[in-house]
Amino acid sequence: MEKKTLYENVLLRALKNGGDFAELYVNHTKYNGMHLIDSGIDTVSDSLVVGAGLRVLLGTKCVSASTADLSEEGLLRCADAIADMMSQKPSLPSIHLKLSSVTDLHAPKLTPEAVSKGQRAELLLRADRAARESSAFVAQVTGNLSDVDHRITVANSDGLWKEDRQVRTRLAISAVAENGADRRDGFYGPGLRMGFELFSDVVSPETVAEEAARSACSKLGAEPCPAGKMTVAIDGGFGGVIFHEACGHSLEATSVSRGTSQMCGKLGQQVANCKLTAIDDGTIPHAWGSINIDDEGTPAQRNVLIENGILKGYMIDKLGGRRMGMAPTGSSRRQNFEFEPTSRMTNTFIAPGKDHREDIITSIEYGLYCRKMGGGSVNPINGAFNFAVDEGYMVRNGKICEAVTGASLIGTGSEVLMNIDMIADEVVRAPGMCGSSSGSIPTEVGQPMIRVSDITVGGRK
Amino acid sequence: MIDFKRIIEAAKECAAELGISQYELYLTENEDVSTETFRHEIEEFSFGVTANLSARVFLDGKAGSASSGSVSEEAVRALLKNAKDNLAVISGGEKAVFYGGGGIYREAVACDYAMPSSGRLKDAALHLCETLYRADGNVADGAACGAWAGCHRICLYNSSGVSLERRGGGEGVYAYAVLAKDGEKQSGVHSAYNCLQDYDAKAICDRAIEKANDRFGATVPETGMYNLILEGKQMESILSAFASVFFGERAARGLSPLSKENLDTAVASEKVTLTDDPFMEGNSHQMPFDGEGVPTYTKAVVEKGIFKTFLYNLKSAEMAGTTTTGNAARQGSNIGTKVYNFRLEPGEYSREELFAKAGDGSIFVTEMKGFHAGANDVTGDFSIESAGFLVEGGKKGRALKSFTVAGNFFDLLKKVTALGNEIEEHGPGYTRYLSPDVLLSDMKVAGK
Repeated sequence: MEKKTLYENVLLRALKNGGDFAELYVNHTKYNGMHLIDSGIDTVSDSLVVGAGLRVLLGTKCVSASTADLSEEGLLRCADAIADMMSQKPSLPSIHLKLSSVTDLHAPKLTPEAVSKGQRAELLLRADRAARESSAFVAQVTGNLSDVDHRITVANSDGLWKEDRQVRTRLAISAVAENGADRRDGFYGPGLRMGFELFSDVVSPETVAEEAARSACSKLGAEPCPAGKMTVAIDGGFGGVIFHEACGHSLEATSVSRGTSQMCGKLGQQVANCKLTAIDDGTIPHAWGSINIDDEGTPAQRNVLIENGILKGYMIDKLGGRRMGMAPTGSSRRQNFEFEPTSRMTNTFIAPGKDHREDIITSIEYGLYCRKMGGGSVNPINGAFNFAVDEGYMVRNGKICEAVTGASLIGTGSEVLMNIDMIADEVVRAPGMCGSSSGSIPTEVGQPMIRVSDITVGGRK
Repeated sequence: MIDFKRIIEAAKECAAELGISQYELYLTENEDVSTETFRHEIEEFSFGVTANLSARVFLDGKAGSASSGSVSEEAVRALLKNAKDNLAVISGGEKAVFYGGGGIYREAVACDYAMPSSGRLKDAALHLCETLYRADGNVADGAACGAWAGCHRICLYNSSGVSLERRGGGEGVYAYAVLAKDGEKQSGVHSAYNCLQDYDAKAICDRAIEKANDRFGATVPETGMYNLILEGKQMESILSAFASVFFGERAARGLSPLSKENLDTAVASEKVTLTDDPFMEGNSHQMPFDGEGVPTYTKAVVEKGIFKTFLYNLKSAEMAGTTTTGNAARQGSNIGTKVYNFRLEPGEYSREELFAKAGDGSIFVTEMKGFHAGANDVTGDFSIESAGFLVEGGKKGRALKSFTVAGNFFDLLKKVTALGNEIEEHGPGYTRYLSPDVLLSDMKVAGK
């Protein structure tokens, strides 16, 4: 049976006992991974994830089913499982799917299948050599080279039928530096929505490795970070995780539509310092979190979330939109067919301000400069967040001083957004994986260097 | 259910054609169903079936691997070929070890689980939901109750004749209370396991509401040194974040603060005994074989403060010149190291007695978040967002929020001065961390 007829039949079958909307999502995802340790390739793995997720909406209610069986029988069985959960009169709309073309803003030049395993291994081995040659203190180097070729199909009872291909490539290097009993680690892991041209056009394996080694060596001899309230400068790149955790998750319909976000009902209100403008933009060419269409088939868009401190919008999926009475914003995402889609971030960043980096540092009498950040988490209901400082330095009298380790930053979103009182003029973005109810998805965070006037620093000194 | 025998037969045929004499197949199948309420209705219901088949091929001391969510006779042929191709790129110095079989497997509690009807799950969720709203007039939008059930099957076969299968399943219910008072919202969740036929809805909802209520009006403590009583669940999170420091492979690679020199030396207070137990009583998910098919057994990792053994799989044991401890983890085709029931053995004190020993002004820590980023298993350092209560008059007093607890895992183990005598109930699982309440002396807290 041709795809069009099959998909139409499956959608109709899912609606046979009621529902006002049905949607079929299919993914065919090929992961390639290679792991380096002790200057050798330790593991080469490839894996395939294929399956379909089907859901029926009735107002704000949702019934969903998923299967790895993509045969006609498998998909119809999945539709029957959904219909069995419904007990309405059949709506039986007529469904006429028409395949719409999707413009690819992020087409890869050098696709995964064009790169041999031997070539991949050489990229990792180059990184290993570079890290070890960069410093005699480097005692261990581990690396992960990964790429994913994620093909999705979305078809729904409104007649939408779209297909998209998402290729992403990433090299993550960790270096361990040792000086006697003192052992420290450093990490750098750039990734973009492109093919292996990442390494010829954007960043070489040597650059990745040297940065990981530099970060590890910079921590040797570092003392534990002091604890308490401080003024903190957070650099660009993965520093943007502060907005992602402190505010981004609270602007997802996932929590807003259920009333479990600190940002509920605050559209048009001042929620941040008037210097702060924040944007989620899924259209940035080749950015790690970019998408041509979201996982409901809605085109990606640039969503201004906060403008000059005023809350302007949320990130909304179809079901969340129904619950909130608002239109979707191209923000529906899912890891794969096993997860139901929900509103998520794409590339989220604080827009450039008018301050200069050096002015931010010189403005701090006593505080912490966070050159690199680790991950974090948040409870959207009260906005309490935490995130780890991967590479930090004390600041005294406007000067960056000694390295410190073991620090974290905590606070609540509403407080920290007001306390961001200086914003530099150049945005740097960095890739990450964000975990939430619809699985682990690639998102980018970013910001210029910012100053937080007052925040709790967790340290052990 | 997938016919694994047919997959094995196809693999045998294909392996012969490709000249592969040593290989291994690993199959997982899962079925999950869940439902959740919003306000007073069922709002979400989901059902899913997934499978994963992986293959490893061994040749000349190397192992190549591949995995697929598409499971068929055709797929296994492709996997064996891919695994053999992948093997050609391996250049690591350590020898991959193929399990030759011959082990004796301890009998585990049978766990053939029959999935409940969807109606039963819906009824339980609605019943809990009504109970939750009746229990407290401050329950607000965002509160949700749910029920879930899942069953799974694990099959392992290798060309030396090892053929193993383990099935399991379980179910649970939960209440997620969201309370709104004076413009402030707080939440609390409580779950119960394997009780769809007989659960105490009132007790579950009351506990969730109590946890939410406890968070209102919390204040930030002063920065300083405190005696801490870590609730058992928080110590379990710490064990989860740092269990990998005991993995032999990480130590051999220089990625753990521990090395061979630490064996048989004191790494913790003498109060501390850490046991890894694949057969813990009361856990229906007992595991008689590991991710490579090796028999499992119970062992003390730290005994009265003395470090007794690293945890190994076949390859890491070979690297260390010792034998595997049956702790191979499996994620698709990748082999790592895992723990089963990783347990800090209980001591002798009730919670109230621990409060008394800690003294007024100590902090009872009931929430710790962000271990995925705030804990470093290479150095042992951690700095974690926390919440809890001040100990006042020998009891749980005022609520505290927005502070961090920071330290080093091994310093923390040395600061264990007393242990609670109970471990709270847990759901079934192949990897679980278990701990009683723990009294720690002089820990750094950052607040105001």
